[in-house]
Amino acid sequence: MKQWLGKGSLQRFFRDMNRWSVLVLIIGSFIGLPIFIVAYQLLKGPGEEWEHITTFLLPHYVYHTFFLIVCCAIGTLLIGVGCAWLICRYEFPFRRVLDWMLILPLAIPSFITAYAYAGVFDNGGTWTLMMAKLGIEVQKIDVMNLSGLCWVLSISLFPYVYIGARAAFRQHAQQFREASHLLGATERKFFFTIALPLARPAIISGLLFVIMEVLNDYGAAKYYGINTFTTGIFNSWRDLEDLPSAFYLSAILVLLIFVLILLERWQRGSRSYATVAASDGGSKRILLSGGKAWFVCLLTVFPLLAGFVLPVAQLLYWVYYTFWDVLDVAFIQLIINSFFIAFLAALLTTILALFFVYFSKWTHLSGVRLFARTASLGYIIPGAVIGLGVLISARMLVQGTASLFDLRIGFLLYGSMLTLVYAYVVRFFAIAHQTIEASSAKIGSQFFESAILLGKKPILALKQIDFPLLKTGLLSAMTLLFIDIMKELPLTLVLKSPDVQTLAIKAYEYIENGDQIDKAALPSLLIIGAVSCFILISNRWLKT
Amino acid sequence: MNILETHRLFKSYDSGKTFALKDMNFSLKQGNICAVVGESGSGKTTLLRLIAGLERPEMGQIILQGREVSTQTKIVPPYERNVGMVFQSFALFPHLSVVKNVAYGLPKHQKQLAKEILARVNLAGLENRYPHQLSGGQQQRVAIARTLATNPQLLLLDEPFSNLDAALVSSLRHEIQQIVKQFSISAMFITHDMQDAIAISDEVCVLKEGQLIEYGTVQALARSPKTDYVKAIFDQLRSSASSVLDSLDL
Amino acid sequence: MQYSHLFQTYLYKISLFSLSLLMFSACQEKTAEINLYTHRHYEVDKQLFAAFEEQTGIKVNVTNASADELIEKMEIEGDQSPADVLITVDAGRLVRAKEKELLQTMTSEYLSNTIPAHLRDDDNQWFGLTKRARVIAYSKERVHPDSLSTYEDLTSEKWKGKILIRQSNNIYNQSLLASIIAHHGEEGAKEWVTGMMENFARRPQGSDRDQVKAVMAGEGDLAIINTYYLGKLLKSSNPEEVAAGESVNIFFPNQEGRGAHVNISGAGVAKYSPNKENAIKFIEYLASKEVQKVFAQANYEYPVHPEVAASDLLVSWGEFKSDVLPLTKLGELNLNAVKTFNEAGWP
Repeated sequence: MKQWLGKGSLQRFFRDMNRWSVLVLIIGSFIGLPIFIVAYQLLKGPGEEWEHITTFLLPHYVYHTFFLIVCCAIGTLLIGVGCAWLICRYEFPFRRVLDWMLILPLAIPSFITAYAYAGVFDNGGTWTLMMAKLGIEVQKIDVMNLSGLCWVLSISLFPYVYIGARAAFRQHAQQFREASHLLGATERKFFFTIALPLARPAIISGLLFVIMEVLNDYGAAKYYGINTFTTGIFNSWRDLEDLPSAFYLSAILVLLIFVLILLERWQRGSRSYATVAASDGGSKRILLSGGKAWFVCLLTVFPLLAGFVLPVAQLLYWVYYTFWDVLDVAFIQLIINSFFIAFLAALLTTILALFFVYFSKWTHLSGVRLFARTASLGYIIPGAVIGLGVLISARMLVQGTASLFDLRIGFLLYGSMLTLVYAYVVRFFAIAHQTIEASSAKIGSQFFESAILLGKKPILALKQIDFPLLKTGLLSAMTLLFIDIMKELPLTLVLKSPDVQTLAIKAYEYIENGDQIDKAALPSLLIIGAVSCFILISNRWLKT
Repeated sequence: MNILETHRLFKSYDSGKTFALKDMNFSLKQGNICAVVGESGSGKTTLLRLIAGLERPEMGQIILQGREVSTQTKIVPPYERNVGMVFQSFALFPHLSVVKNVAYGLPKHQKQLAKEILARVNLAGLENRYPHQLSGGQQQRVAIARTLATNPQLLLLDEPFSNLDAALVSSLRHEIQQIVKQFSISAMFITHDMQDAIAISDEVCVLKEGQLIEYGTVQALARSPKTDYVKAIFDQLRSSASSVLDSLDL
Repeated sequence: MQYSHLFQTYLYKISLFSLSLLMFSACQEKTAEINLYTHRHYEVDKQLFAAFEEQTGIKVNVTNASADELIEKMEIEGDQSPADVLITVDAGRLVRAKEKELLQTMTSEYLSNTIPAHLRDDDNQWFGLTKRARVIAYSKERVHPDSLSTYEDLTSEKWKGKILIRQSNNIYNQSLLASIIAHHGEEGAKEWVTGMMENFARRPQGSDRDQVKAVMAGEGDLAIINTYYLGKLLKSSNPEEVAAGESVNIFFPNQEGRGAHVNISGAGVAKYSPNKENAIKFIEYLASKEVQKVFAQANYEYPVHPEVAASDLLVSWGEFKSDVLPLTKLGELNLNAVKTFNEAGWP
């Protein structure tokens, strides 16, 4: 039967190859180009310093990176799942506020948390000073090392796990718990045998996000002096001046992520009960009172204090006496610039993703649909790698146009806002794609199909029917993008130039310059303020 | 004259491993009502979606009003086929009022015309409501009115009776019959219940596992079923002493 | 209500203010100017540029970024580059800029006569403007200066667990090691690196300032730092930093031999400079006695002008002999230095 179908397949291919298929291919290639270019670079083999890197540096990268992955996984699991469980199962003072405030650590880019922690605990830091003022002799708490980095990353990334676990625990219907208790199970047994296994897929997905962020981190590791894959990519590019080897390091890193994703797919695939229908409304919380209640409150407040309040307090302290040194006309321009870039990139990504989602629905070629799914891999590829991919793509384009048409477009592409915005689009396209695809799936295809059966062309139907229905989804996609772009460091670091700056870069430069480290507080706080607002918006108003 | 013809229609969702629809050949006369009967998963909805142009067949032709709309080399898009379809869930645009829903398919969105059509399906006075403010039966009539507004020659209805309670079903059957006569169009509807087919259809297609196993008038099917499958359906109806069989005058 | 109204007026004022700033910058007339690409990020520089503008009427447009980025930018801009002057904070980057043919030879009698030969390029493509020595800051309490002698001596057994120094990806450490490679060859340098590592008080981390703070905290006894960092600590508005600065003294190593390792902050004229004359005038200004004094006083750098005295603070650390190894060497050996660090495993 299958062979028999093959006969007309070429005819059918041309029949089904419509303009949407072409557009999907164009947008997909546009998004995928830097990644393909990096893959292509690998064919040329590693650079001169590869042997040097593998002999002397790679072992450190591997050891540190794995140590970080394992420790941060454990750390975020303990904090994230623990808090989610307490919040979902018990009623205690400030529970409602803590419920959403525990997401706030995500508002701080991890390199800024790292830097604030160093400001608190390093020699002459706030902690030692305070203790000295109180006349208490304390041992120095050394944070600028591997375990310190683990702590900083865990405390700033645990909300990913928390969000996943909370959603899963909320879904547990009252009946599960009642059934379990009627069967004589203790609270502990219920947690370990029912609640946790049911929440596992959601928790692991959150964990995957944590690990990807750990692998993506550059600023915190660099500042604490820990050599990881990502700092290694920068090292071999900048210090060893060996770009090809940097690509090889990138390839190993991407491979590692692929393995992790496959593992996640595999664990999810074997468990299909992930979406047990249930409602939140019915599940009642256990009312705690007295000391117990305050103890639980303290337990859940702690991650918030450590991950948000402490760094912000330190930054505020610094801002207090550097504010007027930092604020000048150029800085105000930088703020405007930074917001503008983030907004522009978020808008562009959302629009592209919207079209991509719909065009790939309208294409009837299964090959194109498959392509559409792989084109949105951008998010799993670390920012530094995408940055290098975009850089080398721009270089190839510039050289190409120079030799073919004798055109010089270098000034348009190198170190320009155009390139940076493009890189953001590539990196964060998957987020927009996923968000929009999910909200579009929620709407269903029937409205659209009705519209075209009523005589409307697809684009018109999209504009009149699906677009108004998608508004919330589009807004939340844009919000998520804005948050991520404002926080982004490694990619921006590759592509920044004297002309293109963001707040994150400014903060990083102050930190790296070493002798005016406290000045980084103002740009940092601006990022945190903006991102917190957007987290609130997406968490409170865009919930559908 | 035939409003609809299909020749050797094949449809697969997994590039040829299994077929949702296999070798479908049938035709529908102008002005007739055809019921597509089958269990879930038998390919009924796929057939309707192929006719509407929402899916593309791997093989075969669809001919609407003598025009080839779907072949190996050419596909006429849904919005140029002059076919109307009412979805099982009605698919009323939630952000548009009733009258805007009905006017949506009209050139220049003529509200007056939309109001007239609404009046013809007994919905006058509900123009400015929103879909979620209507009952299931009202929603269905809005959906039908919206489809009729564009003057389709063939009306496709996906499980029109499944979302309604029993009392409404018989009045709706009657209404559909009325509409087809009144607008002088043809109609095809999907049902899993042979009683619906017996009540209003001129012709019946019985689908099983993607294949058309019987096709003909209701009387012909009831008198001399060619397959055990259809025979069993009628036998069961007889044993339950259903009143619909009386109308067949067997 | 009251507050939101206030806020609105405030917002309105801010937007008006920023708008007028934008318009102001857009409408400025074309005057004599130079475009400066600089890696220096010190407050005092701004004042110096303003003074230059006042004196000469030549406007200084500053583009501030790391040397690598500035070099990349000049490469991309090619012959269209608006850059007139490139200033970096180490000689290695100037050497790299020269290798990439981004600089041009300057003919300035004043500069050639004033600036010592080892602090400038052989072809006069760049000139050093300030010197900074990489020295040993030792704990006043726990170390007697007589026990100190050379960089090489730091690897001896007696300093086990005492030495504080930052990471190897730092350019100051790289050029120090480059100078050691130049004097002792690769093998000698490797031995020095491993010897140093055995004596680390802790894993390298933080900035030069942090090393001094760690000495005060008792984590180690010797910190390897650039001279001006100590100056900045001592003049800090933060009493804690002053205390840290006061807990150490400076020791200039290798005084009996080649002298202390010195690097420069220096400037060159861009190859495609549109305002070449003004550019040279500007560099001459930076090498003038008055400006050299400011560099010395405000930023605690050693002036390159032989007749200008260092600041009182620097003078109080005493005269010192500096290594006269041509700085070009540092640029050439930089990659070797990086690799030597990596091979030894210096973080």
